[in-house]
Amino acid sequence: MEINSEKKGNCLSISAKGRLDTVASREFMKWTDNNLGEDIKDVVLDCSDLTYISSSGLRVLMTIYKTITPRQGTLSLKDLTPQVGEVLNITGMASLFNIE
Amino acid sequence: MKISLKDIKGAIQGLGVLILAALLLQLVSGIQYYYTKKSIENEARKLAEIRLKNANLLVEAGMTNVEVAVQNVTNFVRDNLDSPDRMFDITRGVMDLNMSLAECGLLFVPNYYPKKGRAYHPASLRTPEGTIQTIDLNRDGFNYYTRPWYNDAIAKDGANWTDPYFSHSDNNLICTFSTPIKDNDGKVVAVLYADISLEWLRQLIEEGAGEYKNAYSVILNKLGEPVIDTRNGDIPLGFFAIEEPMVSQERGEQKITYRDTVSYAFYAPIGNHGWSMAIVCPEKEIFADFRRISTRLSILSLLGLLILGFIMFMTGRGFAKLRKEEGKRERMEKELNIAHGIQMGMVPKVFPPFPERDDIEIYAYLNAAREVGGDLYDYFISDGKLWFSIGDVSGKGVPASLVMAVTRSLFRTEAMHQSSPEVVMKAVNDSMAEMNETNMFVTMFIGCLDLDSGELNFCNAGHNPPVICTSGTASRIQLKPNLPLSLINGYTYIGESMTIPDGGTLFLYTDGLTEAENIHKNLFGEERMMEVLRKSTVPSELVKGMSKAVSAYTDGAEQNDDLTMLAIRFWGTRRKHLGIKNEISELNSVPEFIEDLCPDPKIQSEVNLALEEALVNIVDYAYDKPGSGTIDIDASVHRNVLKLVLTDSGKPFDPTATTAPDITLPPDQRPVGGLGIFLVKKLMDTLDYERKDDKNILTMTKKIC
Repeated sequence: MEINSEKKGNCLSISAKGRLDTVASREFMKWTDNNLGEDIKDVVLDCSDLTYISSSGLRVLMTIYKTITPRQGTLSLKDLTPQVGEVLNITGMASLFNIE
Repeated sequence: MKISLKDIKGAIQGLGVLILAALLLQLVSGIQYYYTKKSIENEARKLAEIRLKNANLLVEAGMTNVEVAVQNVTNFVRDNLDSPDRMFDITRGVMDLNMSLAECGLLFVPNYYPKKGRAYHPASLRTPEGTIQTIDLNRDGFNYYTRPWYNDAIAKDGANWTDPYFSHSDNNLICTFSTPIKDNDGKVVAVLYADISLEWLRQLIEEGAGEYKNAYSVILNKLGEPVIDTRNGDIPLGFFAIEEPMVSQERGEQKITYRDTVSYAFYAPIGNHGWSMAIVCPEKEIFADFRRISTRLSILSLLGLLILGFIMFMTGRGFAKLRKEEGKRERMEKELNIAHGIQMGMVPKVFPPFPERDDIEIYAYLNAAREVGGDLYDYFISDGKLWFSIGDVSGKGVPASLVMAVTRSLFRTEAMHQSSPEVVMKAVNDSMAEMNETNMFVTMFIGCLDLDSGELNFCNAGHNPPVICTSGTASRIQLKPNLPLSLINGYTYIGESMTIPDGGTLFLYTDGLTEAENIHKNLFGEERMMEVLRKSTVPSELVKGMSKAVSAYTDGAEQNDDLTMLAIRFWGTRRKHLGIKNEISELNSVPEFIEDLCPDPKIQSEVNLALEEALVNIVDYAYDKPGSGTIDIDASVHRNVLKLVLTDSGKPFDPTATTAPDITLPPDQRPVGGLGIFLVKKLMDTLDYERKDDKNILTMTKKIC
């Protein structure tokens, strides 16, 4: 799992490459704790190279979502791979996020 | 020529038949002889009886007529005693009225009419011309007072019949009825008489003797003296054996023997005056025709027997042979039917043969060209291995079937305790080659499929290469050549191995399939076979489809070789195991573990996720401390279904019992976690939990293609 990010104003763009499985999610959760500052309102997650997501990964997304929503921010997921998209659909989470 | 016991037996049988025929013929002849003789005897008896009866009736009627005619005129005579000349008219009148009378007259006692001489004797005579002549017989000078008819009538003082006698005048046989005439004082003045000619009676009795040349008839008077006979007095002494019963007025018959001549004598009373008549026929003459016919019949019978004997002698051996052949054929047919039953009992015929197994489907077909054949197939499961074979004995019919039975038995025996097809093949070959006196041989394919690993070991002894069918494809297995069975003792067979593609079908057959002929002698051929094989991979469909195709092709042409098919479909089971510690980091090995079980990337990803979520659950909840326990993951793929069994020794925990998260809740009410088991349930087809032996066993399955 490789995470790259770019901050533009109050928008944080994240690029996650590889598998967001349980192990990776712990890592990602830590990363989020460190990088999702209070000034961040919107988050854009580039999923073009995200091939896999587990429920832990969904938890991270949920955490991000719950963090920025009170700030009137949005979580956008870009270029979902079919696998990831399906998991989001199954769990009903696709409706929560801004899927681009 | 060699004379065998059978020939002698046949000859004895033939002789027996001949003797039996002769005996039967004799019996029939005997019965016929007896009844014919009886019937001829009856015929003769009946004839005699009729003659006797007729004679009796005629005599009785004739004599009664005379009696009446004479009695009627007695009063008339007495009333006219005063007119002696009228006596002529009176006698003439009697004659006129009775045509049977030869003479009628009155002999007056001597000197009754002195004017008329001493013995006045007016009479009427019938001339040979049939006219009536009236005459006074006193003139012929004959002393009639000595005649019995005169004396008897006077002595008796009443009517009297004389015995027949020959008249002194014309030597005719006559019989005289006479009655005395009395005057008003009751004194006898004359005797009125009438002669009756017995020439008709003589004719009658001569007829009575009838057709028989040496037959004769005799009439006896009441004293037993012959009065008429047809032998002119030359009566054989033997006749007098029946004199007594005749005189006693008996009616009957008797066999009399005289000088070696046996005669039948029939006798009965005649008339009312103690006469009796007998008809005597030599037996020889009665049965003369019969004897002649009997003799001819006997000669013909004998001739027939001789011809029969001759024919039997000439063809006896042929008949015996034919009979033997016939019996043999019937027996053979019966035995063949039994053999058919036995043979069909040798090959497994219950389909599906292993209903409890889901990894093997088998269907087979054996159709012998005759009642029994030389094809065989067999299969059985032993030690987790499916042994199977198909074979074709050279030749057909009973000899082939015997070899087939031996081959099949050897295959079973050897395969039960050998490890590989080539070893079994060698053992079968050595046993058969050792006892092969007829140089028959068997082509055979033996396979041994490891039902666990899916590895197929096989050995082919000159048999047609089996075909592997997968959906839409059919290809022959490339085989190493080995000699057919039972040719060379000690031959080393080479075995091979391969893997049957999962769900693929191995189709084995004998050349009766590809060489099935239609009426134009064209073969069904391999191409047609392969075409059918591409249509299905289900064994029963394959075999039935093939059978139908062959029937359609041959279209009623006579099957000239045994046809056998065996189709085996195998579904292998791939198994994999992974043991991990209850640590999250261990989950990294999951993707690689799953990768080769699921070829489809999407499904692979789903299974990966489900497995990961399930494992996370166990890691999180089963054990108190990470790394303190282990989780076993057993994966298997069978018939396109992946089964994952997760076993841990942690606290009892049933993930299937957790309630699914409500994913329709508004975002702010949605829990952050709790989606793991939900995902497992969503992604897998089944999910089951079991607590067993202090272990949590979670089983999940998913169809993977």
